[in-house]
Amino acid sequence: MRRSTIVLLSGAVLAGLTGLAGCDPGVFGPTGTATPPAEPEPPPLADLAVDSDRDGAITAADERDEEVWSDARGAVFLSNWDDDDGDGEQDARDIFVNGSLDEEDLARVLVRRSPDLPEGATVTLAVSPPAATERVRLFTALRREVLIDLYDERAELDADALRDEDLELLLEGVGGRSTRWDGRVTLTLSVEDDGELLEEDVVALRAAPTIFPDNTRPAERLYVMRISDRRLGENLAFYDALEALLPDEVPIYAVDQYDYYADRWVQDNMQTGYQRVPGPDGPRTQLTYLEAQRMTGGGLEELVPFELLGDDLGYAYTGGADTSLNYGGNLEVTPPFERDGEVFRFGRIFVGGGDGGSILGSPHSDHMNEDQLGYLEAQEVQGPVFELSSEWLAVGHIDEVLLFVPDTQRSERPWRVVVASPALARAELLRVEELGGGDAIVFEGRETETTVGEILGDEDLLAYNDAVAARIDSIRDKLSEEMGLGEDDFIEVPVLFEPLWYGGMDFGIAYNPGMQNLVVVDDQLFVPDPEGPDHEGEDVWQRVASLNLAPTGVTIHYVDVFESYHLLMGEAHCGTNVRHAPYAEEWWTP
Amino acid sequence: MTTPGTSTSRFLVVVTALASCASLAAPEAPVVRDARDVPAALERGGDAGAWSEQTWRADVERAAGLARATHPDGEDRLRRLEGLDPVVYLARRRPEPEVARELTRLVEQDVVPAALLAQLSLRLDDGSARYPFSSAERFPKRAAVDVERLQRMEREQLRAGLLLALSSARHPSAFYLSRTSLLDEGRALPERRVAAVALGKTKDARAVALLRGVAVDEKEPLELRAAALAGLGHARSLDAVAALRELSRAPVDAALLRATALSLGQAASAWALRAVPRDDADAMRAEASSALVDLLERTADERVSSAVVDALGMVAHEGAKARLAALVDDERTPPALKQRAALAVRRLERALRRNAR
Repeated sequence: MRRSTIVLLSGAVLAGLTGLAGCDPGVFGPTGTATPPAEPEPPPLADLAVDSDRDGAITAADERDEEVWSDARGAVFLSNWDDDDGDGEQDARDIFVNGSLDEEDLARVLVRRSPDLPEGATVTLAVSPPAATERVRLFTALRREVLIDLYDERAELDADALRDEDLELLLEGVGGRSTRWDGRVTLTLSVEDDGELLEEDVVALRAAPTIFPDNTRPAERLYVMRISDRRLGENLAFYDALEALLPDEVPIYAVDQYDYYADRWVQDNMQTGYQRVPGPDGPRTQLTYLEAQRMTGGGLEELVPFELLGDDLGYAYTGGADTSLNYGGNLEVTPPFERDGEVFRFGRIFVGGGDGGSILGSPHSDHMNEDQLGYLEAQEVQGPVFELSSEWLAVGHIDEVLLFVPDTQRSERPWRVVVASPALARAELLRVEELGGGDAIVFEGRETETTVGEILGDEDLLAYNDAVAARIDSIRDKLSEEMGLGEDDFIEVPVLFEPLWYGGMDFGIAYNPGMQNLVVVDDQLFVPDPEGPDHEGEDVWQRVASLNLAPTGVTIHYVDVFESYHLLMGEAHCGTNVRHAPYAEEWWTP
Repeated sequence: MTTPGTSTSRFLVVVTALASCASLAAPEAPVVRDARDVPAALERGGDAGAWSEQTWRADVERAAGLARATHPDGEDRLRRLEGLDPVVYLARRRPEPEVARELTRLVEQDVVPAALLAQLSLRLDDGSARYPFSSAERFPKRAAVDVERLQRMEREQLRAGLLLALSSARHPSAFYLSRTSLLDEGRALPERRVAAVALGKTKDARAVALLRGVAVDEKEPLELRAAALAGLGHARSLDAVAALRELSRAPVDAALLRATALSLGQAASAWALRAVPRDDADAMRAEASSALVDLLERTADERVSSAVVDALGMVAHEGAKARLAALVDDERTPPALKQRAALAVRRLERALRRNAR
């Protein structure tokens, strides 16, 4: 939007108007007499342009409403968190355009030529609001020199040069949307003469959100640690099963056991996602992982910044207080859905946490830290973020209770919620006992081997599970309320829980391998083998889980995680991470 | 059938073991002339001793001595707990020491007799245990951990684990050890909280009055009082339910009412009463259910009502359904209560359905 106090017409413009009057029959009025042609508008003194219509190019069509950013219109830019020059540092951390690949990550800003700039005029480009000045940087495209660095608010442009040619700039996002900044930037180009403002032009831009694809998106890569060293607790039964059964188009990324001290919880250190903006050759994507606030000392917190960081793979890191509830296992995303007419095109983020206390009644609260939660909220497109009770769990992660899986047989809601069910686990044990299988072995050959009768005779264990079932009921109710779910949107799998004690309080953990803590790779599910009792040659817990999952049309693979993950308080999902394809819809199209 | 040589060796081992405990044994400790004289129950730390207020410590020592004879590797295993080894527990998804599960399993599998746990618990109290807790060298240098905090936690977790394992095994020492920890105000709060639950888990009838006393004692920390309520829940008897019912009527902090509700659910859980005579089980469930509905009617606190709804689902008594339905249908029921009652009905119906599977 442009404001002028004086408009000066140049000689060239006047000549053009005169010429136009002689050639264009349209300027003749209905009487046939010649009417002086309308004088063409002189070129503006201040003219900024960005890709406001989000078509990947700067054209005249971008002029309209360029000063306002809305869901439908307004330029967008990436946060430059990848490493295009391979120096091991995020590109945003230095004051350089790190090569041509890096240049493609920066947003174009055009200062159009202004031939009518008065002699002695001052041309200034300013960045606002203050939060933006701390988080964006501007370079000249030609020389790739810093024009406006962080914390600088303005720069004076070369007026003489601007009379002759356009000035192309590159805008770099350094800090993304967060609790402290909503990602909005305003650029103001001002032309002054002797202290008097002659003209001004304003454009608005906004940082792209980071989007976290849900489990039902096509899988592109699976991360898992390969642990062959028995001293470190080898996991080859699990790893080899994944390697053998994964579709060819989903490669395994094997994380080294020694580089990260056998810290196998690959779900926890990161959440895979992406940023996307319109580009000249189609949408431009930068994989963007959220590095969770998780400090182990040389463990997987170094995977993303030191190994995965590369060209077109960057990361966000929010810091904040360290709690297990920050970790990736406690951050999930619903598939896209509609509720009461409101459409959530990219689903909604949900996390575990709450103030509900322990299962046995100890007062207790725990939540994801405010910085990380605020960051997730600030992305907006997958909000509002909601919380489900997980503070009662020893690890505190929502993937210990439920996960979303695809349902290939439904069209309207092609997904379901797989949820841990103590009631189902108990019911199957009762059934086996009634059929004379009270001595049937559970967890055969494992250090925790027991029998059906022993489990059913452990009244404290069963009472605890009765209470867990009640808590999971409340979690289901909350999820149903947030998403408008019905009973048939849930699939139960048999999981018992047991209490562990920390600080004098009870915290729950899966008693048998938690079957809901599974890995989704397209229409394949890798489900922790529950190692339940056999009846008529079949594991009864596997049998009922398979029955319940069958209507979804997915393929189930039961995988051995008992020694390598379950006894260490995690399961299959906890030990893996999947990069999923971006959504087909673009966030910038309403 | 044992050969004479074998039984003689066992006899010598038993006498030697007894002799090592002689200075701590009660004067009336039986002389064992032959291994076959040792009652099987005492050999496994059972209740063949007097196990009275006056004799229980000596009973622990005697039982431990016998346990060493029958399980010569038991003590060594007790001193190599994985849950106290940083190399093991730092690899866990929650990288902190925890041994209650491990100890319970070791006793259940007869790898370590309960009597040895009881003796260790006594010796931790009097400082003579010389337990090999981890040294700083056992922690990886690179690990971003607070070594001192974890070492403190190992001690706390061992104490907690011993009490819980002993109470799960219903060892006769469990009542006395748990009571000692619970009532000693000088002990760390986490240990006292676990002791409260462990006391209830013993199912000892004497536990109910003790736990009730702590639950109502306003001088005790709220967390300990909540733990005492949880202990009553674990006691799971008619007396425990009656005590919880009485406490549900007390004008106390919402956190305590919440714990009371959940403990009523624990005490009368439909899933947990197999071993209880049918009539008693029905009476417990009826009384708990009635107390919960009363509480639901009285409370306006969201946390308490949420816990009541959960507990009603646990007890899953048909009798509650009628009362709740009446609240929902009655025009005079305030809207907030009507909403809570409606939720309780839905949850109860869901619980009844799944219990019928």
